Amino acid sequence: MAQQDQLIEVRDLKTYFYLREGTVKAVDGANFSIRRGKTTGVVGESGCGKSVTAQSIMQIVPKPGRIVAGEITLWPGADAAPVKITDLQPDSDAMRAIRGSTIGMIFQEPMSSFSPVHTIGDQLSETILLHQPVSRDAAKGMVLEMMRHVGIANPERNFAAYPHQLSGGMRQRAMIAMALMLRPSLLIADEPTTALDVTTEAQILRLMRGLQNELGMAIMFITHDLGVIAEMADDVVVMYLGRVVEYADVDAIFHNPKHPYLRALLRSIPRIGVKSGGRLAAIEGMVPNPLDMPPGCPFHPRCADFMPGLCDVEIPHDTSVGGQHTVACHLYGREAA
Amino acid sequence: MSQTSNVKRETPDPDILLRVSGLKKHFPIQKGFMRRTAGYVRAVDGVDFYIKHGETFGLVGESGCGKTTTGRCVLRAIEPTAGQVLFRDQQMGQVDVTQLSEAQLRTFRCHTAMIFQDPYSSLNPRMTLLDIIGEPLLNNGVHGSERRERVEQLLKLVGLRPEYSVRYPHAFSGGQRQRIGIARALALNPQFVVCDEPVSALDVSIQAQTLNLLQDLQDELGLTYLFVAHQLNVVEHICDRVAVMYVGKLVEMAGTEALFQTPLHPYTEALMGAVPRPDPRLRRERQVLEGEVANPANPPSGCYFHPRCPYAVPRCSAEEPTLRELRPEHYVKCHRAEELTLRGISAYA
Repeated sequence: MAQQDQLIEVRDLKTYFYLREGTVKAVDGANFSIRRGKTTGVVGESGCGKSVTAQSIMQIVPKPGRIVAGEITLWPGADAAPVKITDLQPDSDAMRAIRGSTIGMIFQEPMSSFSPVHTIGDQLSETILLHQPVSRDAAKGMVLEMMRHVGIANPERNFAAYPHQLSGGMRQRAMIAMALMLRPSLLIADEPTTALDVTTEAQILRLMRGLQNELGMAIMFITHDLGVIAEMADDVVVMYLGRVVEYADVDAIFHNPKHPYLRALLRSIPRIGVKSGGRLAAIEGMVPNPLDMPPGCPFHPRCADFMPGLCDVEIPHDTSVGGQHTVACHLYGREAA
Repeated sequence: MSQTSNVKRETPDPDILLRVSGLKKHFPIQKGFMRRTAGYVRAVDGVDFYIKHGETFGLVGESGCGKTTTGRCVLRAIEPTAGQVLFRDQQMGQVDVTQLSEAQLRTFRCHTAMIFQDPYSSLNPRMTLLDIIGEPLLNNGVHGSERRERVEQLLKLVGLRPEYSVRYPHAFSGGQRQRIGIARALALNPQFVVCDEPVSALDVSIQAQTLNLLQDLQDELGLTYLFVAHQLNVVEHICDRVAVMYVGKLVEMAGTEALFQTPLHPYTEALMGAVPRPDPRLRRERQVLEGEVANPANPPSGCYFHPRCPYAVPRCSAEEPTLRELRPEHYVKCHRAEELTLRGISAYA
């Protein structure tokens, strides 16, 4: 992809957690890019490192975790110089300026992401007051406008409401309003609809698509739900145990999957409207303990295409299988390696 | 407005294991120092359905619709406010669960069981698997080596190693813990199991294994399931018949295929349209249901769905519809069911 399309480039990112019991390699060599104005979906099961990847981009990895290697580069605009996020200190002014204004973030549980003792309006205004030299009244005006924008009914009344007074869907809208207040170039959405009901989820997904069209921001959409990925993403990063196992455009992910993990995963979900009749093609075994990772490819103990002597010894590298489609599996591109 | 059920109940049908009529559960809202009752949350508000021997009956709906409360009332894990739950017990014959005495309830509980959503909070971290799975056995006079053998047999049945019986739950992953919960539910050879969102908390790759296990156990042991869930793809896969709930009421009940392909209630249609499908080529601008789920403490007049219903007419806000059998075994609670042509799941394919 052309350089000017790129907003974020992640190269060989490694984020480890140093625990008493050992080292958890939450992200272990991730490579991918986020295109300007597009949605990059990150999909994987719990513990695959998708949230830690997002935290690494924001430099908010909780202790005892830290980025140990790799580069995250941000291209703020066509005329601005690229910023190496990995070179910035997490508590530096430069990083604080990026957080909120260039990159916004929304979380799964809006209830625990808001302060319970401040009103929604105060919390949304704070975002502006921290980053921009405007008066309280001007900030309130901006907040009310954004609340209207994200479909919060009765903004004047809800400005003075506390988070517990709003429904789950409304809280998620308020969260989105907060993240978008400073018109960031990237919105990181970490499982934003997982806690919501299907009809509310559909509303929030539609809202996010609409805001993206209007404001032109890129979205990094983290989820475990392949249905939501199919609905939202342009590019997809599939993660398993800290590694990116496949990276491609959304059509290739669903119609030309390469990695045995992704193929098995797509086979194992019950398809709605498709008479499956009988048993599901389940993936056997379970996700290994991150403290006790198998050697070689982390998926080999569950893989149907396991090649002894290769998969359990050597870690597969990202291999191109045409265009931007890469896969980390020994089945592909052996001769080229 | 009639509160009586139109679900046929005249002749005792030998196929039917469980018949629920007019089930209600109202939780009081208490206010102030004197804890005076200021109103009621109508979590379950007059629900009628039946479950046949050996089938999987799905109960779907959004959070707060009362599906979990219904499942619990059926087993009398909580006391229903009103209604009748007729159960054909293998030992006691046909009984009304709501009228059982303490002693009868003990017998009833040997023949029924429950599987919970969260495999973390539903297992006591200070008990070994032997104690967790063996607890129901202990309560029913099975001790010592007989109990240990039964626990090991149950572990094998759910695909875990018998040696695990000395371990504690923390040593197991979510999927394995759910298997432990299933083993505990099966300890006393129940006839009927309420599965309350049994796979919602599990990873995608573990859900399929667990669903397969539930199906295998059903075939092997002749179980009947009440499957409470919100994931429509899972419900479509595993259930024989499905009922849809909205704000404490059952709005539609039919065979799985009939419900998914030819829904009769506008809410069911909206649910079908809202499910994200795992295929980007099916992506399109869908009709999104506006508004939010009504508050069960202060529900709207008439049909509870009318404020969000795209097909609502004045009658819908004035008069509550009754659940009626519009096609054989296809029940719907909507005034306009005959005249509407609604889109099933295939309309989105």
